[in-house]
Amino acid sequence: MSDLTLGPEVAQTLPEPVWKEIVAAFARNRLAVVGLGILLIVAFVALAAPLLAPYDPYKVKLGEQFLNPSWNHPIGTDMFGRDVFSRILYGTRISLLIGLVPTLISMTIGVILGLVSGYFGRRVDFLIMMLADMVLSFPSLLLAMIVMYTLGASLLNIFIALSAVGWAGTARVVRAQTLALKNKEFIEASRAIGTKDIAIMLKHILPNCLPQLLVLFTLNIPDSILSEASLSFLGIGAQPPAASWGLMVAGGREFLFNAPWVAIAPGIAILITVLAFNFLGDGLRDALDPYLKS
Amino acid sequence: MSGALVEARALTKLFSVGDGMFRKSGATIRAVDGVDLDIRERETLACVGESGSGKSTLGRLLIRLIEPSSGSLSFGGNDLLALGSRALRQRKRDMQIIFQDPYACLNPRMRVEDIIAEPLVSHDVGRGKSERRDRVAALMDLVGLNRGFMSRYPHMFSGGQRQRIGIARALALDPKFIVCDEPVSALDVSIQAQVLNLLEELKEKKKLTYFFISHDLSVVRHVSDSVCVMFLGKVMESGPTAEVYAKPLHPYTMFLVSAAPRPDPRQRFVEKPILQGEIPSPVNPPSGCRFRTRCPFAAPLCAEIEPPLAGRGPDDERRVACHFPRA
Amino acid sequence: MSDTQGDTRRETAGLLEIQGLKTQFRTRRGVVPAVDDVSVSVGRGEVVGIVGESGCGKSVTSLSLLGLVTHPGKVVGGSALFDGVDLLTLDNKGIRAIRGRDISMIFQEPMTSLNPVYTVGQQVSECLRSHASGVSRKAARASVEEMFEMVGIPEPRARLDAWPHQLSGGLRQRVMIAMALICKPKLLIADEPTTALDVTIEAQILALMKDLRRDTGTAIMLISHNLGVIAETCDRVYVMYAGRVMEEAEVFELFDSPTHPYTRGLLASMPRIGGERGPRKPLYSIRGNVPDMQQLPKGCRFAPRCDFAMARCVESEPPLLDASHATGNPGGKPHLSRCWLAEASGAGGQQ
Repeated sequence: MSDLTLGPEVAQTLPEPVWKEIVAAFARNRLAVVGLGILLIVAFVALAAPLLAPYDPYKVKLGEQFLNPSWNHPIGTDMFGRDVFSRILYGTRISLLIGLVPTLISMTIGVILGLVSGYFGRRVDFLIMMLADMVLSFPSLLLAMIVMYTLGASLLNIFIALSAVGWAGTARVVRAQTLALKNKEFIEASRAIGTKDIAIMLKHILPNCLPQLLVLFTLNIPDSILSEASLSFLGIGAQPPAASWGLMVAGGREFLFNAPWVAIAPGIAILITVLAFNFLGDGLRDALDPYLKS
Repeated sequence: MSGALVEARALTKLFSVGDGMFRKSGATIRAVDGVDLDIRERETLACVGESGSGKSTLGRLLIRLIEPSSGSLSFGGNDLLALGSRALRQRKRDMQIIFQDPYACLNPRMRVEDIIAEPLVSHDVGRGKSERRDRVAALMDLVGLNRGFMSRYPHMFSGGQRQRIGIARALALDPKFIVCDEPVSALDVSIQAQVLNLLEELKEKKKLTYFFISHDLSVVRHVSDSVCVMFLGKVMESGPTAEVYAKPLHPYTMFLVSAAPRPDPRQRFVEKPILQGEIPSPVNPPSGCRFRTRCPFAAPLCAEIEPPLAGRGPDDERRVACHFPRA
Repeated sequence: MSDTQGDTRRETAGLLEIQGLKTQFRTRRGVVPAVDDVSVSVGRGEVVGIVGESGCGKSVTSLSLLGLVTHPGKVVGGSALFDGVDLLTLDNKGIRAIRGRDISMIFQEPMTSLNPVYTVGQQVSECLRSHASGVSRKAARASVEEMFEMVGIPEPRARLDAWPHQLSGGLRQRVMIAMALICKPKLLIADEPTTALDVTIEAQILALMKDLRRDTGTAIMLISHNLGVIAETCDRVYVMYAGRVMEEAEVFELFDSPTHPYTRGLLASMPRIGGERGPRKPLYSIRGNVPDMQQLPKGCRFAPRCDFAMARCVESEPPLLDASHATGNPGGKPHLSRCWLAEASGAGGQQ
């Protein structure tokens, strides 16, 4: 017994906490840091839009239509004399909201279905994955359009439409991860102990999917933002006079030649935000890479 | 009832290759094929065999971690297969398993304290966090881990220490019976001895019964009271370990025992029989005796009739499945 | 090739002389001296074993020879004379010419060492043709078939066109051995060649290696954690621990009278097949764990786990000392032990 009670010396140097390594790996990726910076600014703008915007974004001023960019109107005015800069600042709110809410909803659905599908397998798995394949093999914008036409255009319906489209990808990723984890010995150990299935899924499998989910989350947000922009552009998303970037591009497109800023400025805003999310997502994926393989 | 703690009769597990709604399940593998087994209380029964022998599957069947396809299984005189899910969950407190891979058997995202306490939480043992923490600390003492490391994560521990964590978890509910699935084969020689001694010590202290799965003949020799030798899902030979090693009855046992390399350079001068050929595919095992394609003593009879596991010697203590047993 | 050096060396000088090899891994948390001042020699036709537990540096030693240590690892010192050429000074091209032709390797995992998209015959003949120019496809195929037969692959001709996944682990390891021997190397490095195999297949492969050594005269450097495998196949053995050679001796001497406490501990902690009957005794066990390679103890690296450690052991690390007088075999083959006990004459030998 003497050698047992000695208390094995745990590695004398403690490895740095995992998150420190991840942060360090992330910080080495410049693009990712830039992306994060941009997104912090975008988030700040969304929160502080009323304070930052020089004008009321909805106030129609006849006689001030299509003013060139100037000190008073940094990006000019649109066809109703509204300040484009103020509208873009307010547009961050819709874009972030659309980016976050449907992504959260769809991923929650996807996580639940993916866990159930992977863990229980057999018939349940077959049905869920068949449904997911159907959703994935249908052009997603078309599917969203169908939902929007049926339900009518409103913010809530955009959430529903985008969630209905977005869950399938998450479900597949979570299912694959669950399948890989399901036969790991620590899951078997938990079953041997007599832990209930639901507890195994929530305590053992889900936490081990988190790195994947985080990456997926940051990469799904720009998809949602783009989908909203497309729907709004097509006139079945946000409705005028909402300050939605997609809607603004749609509204400005007729005047592309005499007042290009009306359409191009919101387009650039979309571009920058989406790129920032993609940089962030790629950076996270690289930083988390060792933890993505289970 | 034979007074055995665990009693298996004709225990069989089939795995079908390819399983789905539209895919026709093709071949079936008889991973465990009609195994009869008695494990006496406070005994260590070792199960030895090569890959594909079904020894790990058998271990999981014995604690109903996987469901048998057919056969019967009793634990402490109660029919284990008749239990409903609630009763089975209660029963599982008496049966535990220790795994081979000290890395895969611990959830990397849980602290040691939570890993060892998981059985307590699952079965609602101990009131509140502090009582559970005391229990965890006592378990860590028991397996020779410093209780100060309770709040650390598994990756901070060495292989041997992780194996101790797995053992502490298995002991949390005071089980009677533990399946040890190759518990030391992933460990270094010097650590292997520590863990073997710990298991031995715990067996005495906690009055445990072990089903000890291993491919290592010398480890089996050291830890077990009796041994069963498996080949392609069937028991080829069983009996008291010392006797089986000293006088193997089945040709396969004889080859296994002589094949194991020994730390003695003079063994090179000993003419050793070497078993030729490969292990046959479990999807398509040979007719008759499964070992006959590798067996130098095979006769036509062996291809036709499968030899049953028949008792030999006083009290049928030794059993062998061979038409032409040695000695 | 440097065979021009003359046959006189054949008897006396070794085939491979590694002197003071140092290989380090740079990590963000510090430098890991994976191989620290290791000297190993292999004579022509000799089978030399390197035994040790995981992380002791036994595999890194062999990888260092062949320039296979990858970033963040680096060979930082020492020399490795192979037939008079220092392998450590060769550039990539030079070492590639030697690798596979004069020195070849087989690894633990025969599946990952074979490329799944080529047949095994293609892979082995490719290996031959890349080192021996002017061998026709047909001639290569014939010699591969011959080699397959020699390493005991049944139906060698049919197996030439088999894909790696169609072969069992044992057959794959035989293919690997055929590939390693096809260029008739002077040295074969076998890194845990049987660890992934079943017991009965392991016995087949070990028997094959012994036969090959007898028939071809290839020197073998056998790396293993398994003292049983080492005992049954090697002529001379190096025991490594924490990047250092702890003991070096001829195989019978090492197993009959090990002098280093680590070697003795390892041997004592092994369960034995032919063990005594009667009440079960606990195994001897070396206490504690392998040291953290970034924070090695100041004195002897084994001292914290050693039952015989003295004040001196914690203070200063012993060099490899001559232990032959301690084993009652003075003047015989060299028996070195990195332990102060070997110096205090005689005392170390008795169990």
